[in-house]
Amino acid sequence: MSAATQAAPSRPRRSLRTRGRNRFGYLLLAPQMIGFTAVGLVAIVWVIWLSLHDVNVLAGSQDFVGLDNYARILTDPSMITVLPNTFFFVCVLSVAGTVIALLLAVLLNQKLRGIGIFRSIVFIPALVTMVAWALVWSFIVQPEGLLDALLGAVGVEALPWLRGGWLTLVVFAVIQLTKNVGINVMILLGALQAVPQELIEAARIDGAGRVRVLRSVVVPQISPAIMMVFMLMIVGSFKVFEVVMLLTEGGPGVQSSVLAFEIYKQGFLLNDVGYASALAVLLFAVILLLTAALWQARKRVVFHEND
Amino acid sequence: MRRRTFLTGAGLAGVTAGSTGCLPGFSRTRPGSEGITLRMTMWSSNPDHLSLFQEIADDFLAEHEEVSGIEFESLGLDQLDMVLTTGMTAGDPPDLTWLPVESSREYIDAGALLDVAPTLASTPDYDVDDLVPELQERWRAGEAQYGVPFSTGPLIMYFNRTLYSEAGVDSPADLLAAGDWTWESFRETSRQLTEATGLPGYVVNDFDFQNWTRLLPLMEAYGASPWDEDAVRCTADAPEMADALGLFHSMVFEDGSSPVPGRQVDFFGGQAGSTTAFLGSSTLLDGVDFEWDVLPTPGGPAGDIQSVGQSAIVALSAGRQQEAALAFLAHLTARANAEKISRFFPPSRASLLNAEVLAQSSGLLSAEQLEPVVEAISGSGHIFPVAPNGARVANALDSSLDEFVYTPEADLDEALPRVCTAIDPVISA
Amino acid sequence: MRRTVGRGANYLVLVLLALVALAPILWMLSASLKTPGEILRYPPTILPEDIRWENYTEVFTLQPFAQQFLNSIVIMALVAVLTLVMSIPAGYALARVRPVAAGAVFLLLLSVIFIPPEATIIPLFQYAAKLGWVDTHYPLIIFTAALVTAPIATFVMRQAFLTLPAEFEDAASIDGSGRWRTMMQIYLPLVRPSVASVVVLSCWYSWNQFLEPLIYLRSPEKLTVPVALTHYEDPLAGPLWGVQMAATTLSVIPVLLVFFLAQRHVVSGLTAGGLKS
Repeated sequence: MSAATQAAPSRPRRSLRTRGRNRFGYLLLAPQMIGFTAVGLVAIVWVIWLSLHDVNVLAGSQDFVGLDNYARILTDPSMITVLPNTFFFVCVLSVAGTVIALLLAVLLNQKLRGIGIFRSIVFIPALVTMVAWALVWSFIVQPEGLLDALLGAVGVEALPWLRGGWLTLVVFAVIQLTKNVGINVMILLGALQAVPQELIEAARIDGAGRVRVLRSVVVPQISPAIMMVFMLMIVGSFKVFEVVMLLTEGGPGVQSSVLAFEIYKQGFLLNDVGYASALAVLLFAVILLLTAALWQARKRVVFHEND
Repeated sequence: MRRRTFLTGAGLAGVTAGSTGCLPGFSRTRPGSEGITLRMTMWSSNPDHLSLFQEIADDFLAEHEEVSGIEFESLGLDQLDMVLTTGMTAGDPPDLTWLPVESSREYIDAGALLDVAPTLASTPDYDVDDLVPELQERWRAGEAQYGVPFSTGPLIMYFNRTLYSEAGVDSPADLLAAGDWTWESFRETSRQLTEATGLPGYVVNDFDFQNWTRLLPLMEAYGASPWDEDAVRCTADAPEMADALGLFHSMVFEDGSSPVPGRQVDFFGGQAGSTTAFLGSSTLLDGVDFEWDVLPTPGGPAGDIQSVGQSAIVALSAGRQQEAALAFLAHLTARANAEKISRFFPPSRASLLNAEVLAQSSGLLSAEQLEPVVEAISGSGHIFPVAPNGARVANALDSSLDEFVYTPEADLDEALPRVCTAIDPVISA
Repeated sequence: MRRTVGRGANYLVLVLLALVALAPILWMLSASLKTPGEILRYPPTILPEDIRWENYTEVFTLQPFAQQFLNSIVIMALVAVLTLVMSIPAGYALARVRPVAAGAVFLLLLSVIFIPPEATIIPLFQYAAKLGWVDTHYPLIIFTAALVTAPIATFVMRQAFLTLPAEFEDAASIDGSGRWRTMMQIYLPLVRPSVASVVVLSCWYSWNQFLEPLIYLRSPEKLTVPVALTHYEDPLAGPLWGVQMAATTLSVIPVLLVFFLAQRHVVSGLTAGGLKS
């Protein structure tokens, strides 16, 4: 039991308290900050350093080349496809993911019999590992697989699902969305159930229809949760990797590749660690900018923000 | 409180388990306390292969006391580059590895392989002259030799005799007998087979539209090659290539006699009329319920040239036990042991390169069937063309072919120059 | 009348939804029992003709799957523990103690959350190599916790601590309680739902990791489940679909069991954590 809590005049007490508080605070922060510095800071500095070199692992050489790797990004024909693909996922997964999760949460918020079962079922894909989910889907989507069979039974022609273009991107988006929607739905469901009933009643009494109630009362009330889901989806969208690697390996060509996969490919399969590092720095920069933009937007969009 | 206690309990359990070190994940399993341990990576997990190599290793250990153990590690071929490069980065690469010929130049140029020629010369009973010179080409530079091939085999044509006779279509053997064994005729009979049975007449084994070397039998028959002799310039847009790939393109997208991209068909499961694969795949025919046979691959305008793949055993210069590694390499490929290995893999030694030896090893194929194979290896065969920057060039080639050529509406006169645009910068890099 | 139609339509949508969510899993189950010949057949059959139980035994003969499963679990538990150790004090410090520069630290951590693993995997791999950590589980636990799960967890814990009234602290200091005790005995029990949330998220993230085990690990007995699943391939014949689906099923079943048993906790953990944003 510390002796620092005696009744005493305010000023000296506050400075003692402040100093003790700072020390205590930094002590508490220490594990996290040590972790961040020892791992994160080192990683960031190192990857920037690597990006300025031409690294040949087979030869064991590292030659300084300045900004050559970055210049190569600008002239790399693959980037014309890879960068838009990456942005496609970021936009589609975040927006569609949030909207779909919201609609599902509203749907599952009803007091129907057996609704609990449906909630659990929607959550199940989230429990499966992404790899498992991707493998099963690769099996379903292959030519003359289950999907083609189901469509054939209804008389719809099979499409070249994994042969590139927007179709493959859509397939990937579907796989990615169905996987994680469960978690987002749970988060939003919790938020929905915390909306005070009085507000909804009041709006109803005022004559608002269901949709209006949703738009003007419910959504603002749960906007912190929506924002959280949105941010989770954005973070997740940059991590689209397993689907790309396990279904098409970025192919045909690089039509279905994303930045994260290119980093892996260049760094680990094609032995070009310098270029891969430059791509990694690019990815990091993009995300940083996006984060800053979102954090600013947050203050304006989210209702009842209490800090 | 209950939940937290449970969680704390689980956490403590995990920590204890981890720190007792009884789990493999928390220790480096590389010994090296006493004596030298060598490690060799290979892309076969066939228990027979592994036990043979272990047997040869045990002989070596008996003679070399300073080496206390030799480990063999199996991995998938597509992981090989990654395992080697990450191993080198970590300072813990294998000492020896199997290496496909496609990677030979890349590794030799980077100085990643040790020169084994001096060791071979000084190993008694090695018989260096027995090594067929033409087959060592890709691994030699001047006086130095950077690896010893242990498997040199052509891509041959397997076909399902039962299926052809049921469909009433001329089988490859019939075409050969009639002196009409060309890709053109083969295309025709494959189409007929597909029409009659609904099954693909021809599937390229281990190809998946991502492994261009499996199309080499077709390319060689037309005298086509992705790059020129010295591997400095792309020749994929030459008319020969347009003819060769044009034929394949038609088979896939017009005739429907070869599976479209993404569709998986297993010849060894009886789902196709024929396939081109390596000799080693004959083991998959053990116990199948259809009659089958083998042939050299069809000829074309450029003649009857067979495409021959090759893999060698190499010692990595990043390895830490170089002397021991080289000694083991020499031991593995010395005449006596090469004969044992030739039970599974076609050898590159003149004394072993005959049909009887190969027939004994394969068990399923007869000496007669193997005659043309031997002929291909030592005579009319071309080993896979190799470019520097092997991994990147292959990636660029596979990618661009996938994107521009393997599509239904591809116009090869337009598509092939685009392929060249993709690989030219990488070849000359 | 309208309500019944409305309710009917509701149920219809829900059933369709359930199908989309469950179909891949049911298909996985069905494929796991098929023979190699049947698995690629077109049109595909739903119920296997001959049930091939060997697929399940081969899961264990082709790879040390039980060991790999255990690896995933142990790594997951340790990541959760390490995350809690880092994030609870840090979240409390940022929310309640607020030393100087707390705001800056918070923003710094926030930006760390958004760093994708692919951006750092290359230098981290070389780092691990220098530390002798390649082909061990250390990077999977320490790097993951420090860089990914702990920053997010700190964020969550900070939010949780923030929403508790400050009166507790004053009341505690009047009672003569020290800072440490205030935190451990008074505040911590109050944020149990968020702690549960953090545990769930950490476990979920670690369990799902694929790129990191792929790069850091090599020996089969050290692999984790996601990577192990992709290894059910024959070098010559391609993926062994039947066995692969059997392994996938085996990896999914225990998680489903745990979920159904601990459902209430998992759900409340998620919803409580997400509420206060």
